[in-house]
Amino acid sequence: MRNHLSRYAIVGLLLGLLLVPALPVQAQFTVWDPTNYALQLAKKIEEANRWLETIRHYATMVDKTIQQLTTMQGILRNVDEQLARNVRLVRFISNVGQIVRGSFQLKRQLEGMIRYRIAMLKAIDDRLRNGIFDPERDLQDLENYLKFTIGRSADQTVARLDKLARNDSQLESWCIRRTQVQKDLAITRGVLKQAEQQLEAEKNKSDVDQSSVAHLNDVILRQQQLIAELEKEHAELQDKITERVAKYGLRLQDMENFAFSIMAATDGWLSLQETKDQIERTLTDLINNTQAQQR
Amino acid sequence: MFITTLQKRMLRWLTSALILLGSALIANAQTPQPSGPSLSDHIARLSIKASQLLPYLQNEVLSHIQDWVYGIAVAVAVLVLLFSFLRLWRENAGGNSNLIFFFLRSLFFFGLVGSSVWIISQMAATGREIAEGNEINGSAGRGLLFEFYKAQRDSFNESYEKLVMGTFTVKVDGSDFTVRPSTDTAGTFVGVLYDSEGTIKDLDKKLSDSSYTLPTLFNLLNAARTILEAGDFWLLLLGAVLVLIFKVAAPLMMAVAIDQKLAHKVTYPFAWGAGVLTLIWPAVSYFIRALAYLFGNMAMALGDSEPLYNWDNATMYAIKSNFASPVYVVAIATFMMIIAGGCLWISPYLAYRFSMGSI
Repeated sequence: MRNHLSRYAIVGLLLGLLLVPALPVQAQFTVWDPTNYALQLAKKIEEANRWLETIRHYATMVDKTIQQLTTMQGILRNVDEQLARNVRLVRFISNVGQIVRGSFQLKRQLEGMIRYRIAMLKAIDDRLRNGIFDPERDLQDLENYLKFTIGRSADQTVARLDKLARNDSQLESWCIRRTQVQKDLAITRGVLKQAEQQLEAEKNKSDVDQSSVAHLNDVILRQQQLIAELEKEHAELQDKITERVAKYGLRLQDMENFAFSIMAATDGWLSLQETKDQIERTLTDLINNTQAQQR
Repeated sequence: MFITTLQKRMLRWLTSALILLGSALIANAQTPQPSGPSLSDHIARLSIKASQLLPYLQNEVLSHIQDWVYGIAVAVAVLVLLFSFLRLWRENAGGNSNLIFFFLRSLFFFGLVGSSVWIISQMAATGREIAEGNEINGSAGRGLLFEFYKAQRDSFNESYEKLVMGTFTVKVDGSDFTVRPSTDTAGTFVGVLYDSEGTIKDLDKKLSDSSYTLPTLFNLLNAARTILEAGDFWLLLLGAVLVLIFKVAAPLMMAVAIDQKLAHKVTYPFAWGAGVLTLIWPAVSYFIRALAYLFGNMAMALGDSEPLYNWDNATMYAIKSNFASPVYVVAIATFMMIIAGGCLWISPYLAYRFSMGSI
């Protein structure tokens, strides 16, 4: 009996073991190291501090930029810096000759405009002296002045000169030579200025320390002669180019005037036909009216 | 009731004033007209002046002359009647049946002294109606000759304009030029100064005499057209002026016709001339003028309606087609128009010789 019981117990135990699901496997507990943890924490804090510094740096930059761009003082400082930079650039690339030439060109244009204006005023004055008060003609004079002086000189001169230079080899060679002369003038003036500065520096030294003064004087003299020759050549080239361009301008003006002549002649012929018809009708009416009068 | 009427009137006045102000504003917004008169304006003035002067010539000069001539004609008629009667009496040794015919003839021509002006006017109106047709019926009533003349003239105008625009101008981009002629049909264009240019890169060579100047050719062409148009105008004026002169002289001519011998010498040629001038000449005139314009059209057919030049924007030159020869075209057209115009000028003489049987 006891064997049966024990056998049943064993079978039951075995069945129970088979039926009961397997329990999950339990991991082993980690080992906690307080010293290492404190070290890692210190590193993290140090990294965060570094980030904070970076952020503070950028914030300062942004604040400064905002200050520069929003306050008048900052703006003026920026503008001042930009202007100073531009002035340096302009001083670097410019030369006095260009300014002088530009001034002369401006003077010529102003003279031309003033001359035209004087002619316009003279026309108005003549009318007034003759007792003719004609505001419409005065306005027409003013319109002509605006149309034929400002419009042509301002809008088309540059573009037309480029086109003409492309077309006319002679004009193109003059333009190229003029550019070369301008460059030579700029270089020569630079050399002259440098020599003058060196000479000034030498003169400021004591007599014993002065050297190559004679050579510098010679260089200055030669550069001045060269500048005079280049300026003369430049003026001649400028005159030739102006004359050439004026010829082209006159040619275009002639073409426009011829076109106006053609248009006027065409209109004139049509008008003549109408006039002939009108005169024919008048003559017919004349004969018929005479006939009526006779009746 | 009165107040209502007053209100209506005020409203009407207010509306009128507003419309007037509005129209004034519109007038201010119009494009300003060019100030100087053009060639067509000058020619139009010629028409106006002629319309004023021709009636003045008729009313103040010719009508007075006509009155004097009429008075002289009556006096001459009496004298001619007297001397003719005496001559007839002497030749026939007294009265006979010829004397009856003489008096009947005298009565007839006395009547014509008074009515010849009216008869010539009637004949002129009839001749014009034969040539031009009846204006009352509108375009359907126009005569064939008149239609032919008008068609040739209009066609010539159109062809001439096409030839001129194609030969002497070149279309350009409007932005290149401040001052530019522009029409609805041709667009923006400039005149071409030389018949060939654009390949040699030197301005001075363009200005040499080796190339023909198109403005000169244009002037020649216009001169030839002037001969043609003036010939047309000459025929137009000649016919009308001759009719007026015939009307003035008619009473005197009829007075002279009382005498049979003088009638054979003076009056019958005059009557023949008046008949030709008033009845036949208008139609012949239109025919000759139409022929001249027909020749002109043939001359214009030489030219090409397509433009001969293209504008090269880069070099600013008008480039001609290699096959085009504007100089020869214009020269031949000019020559043909001169011939046609010359024929117009001498056509009255030729017509006279033809009517008299000399040709």
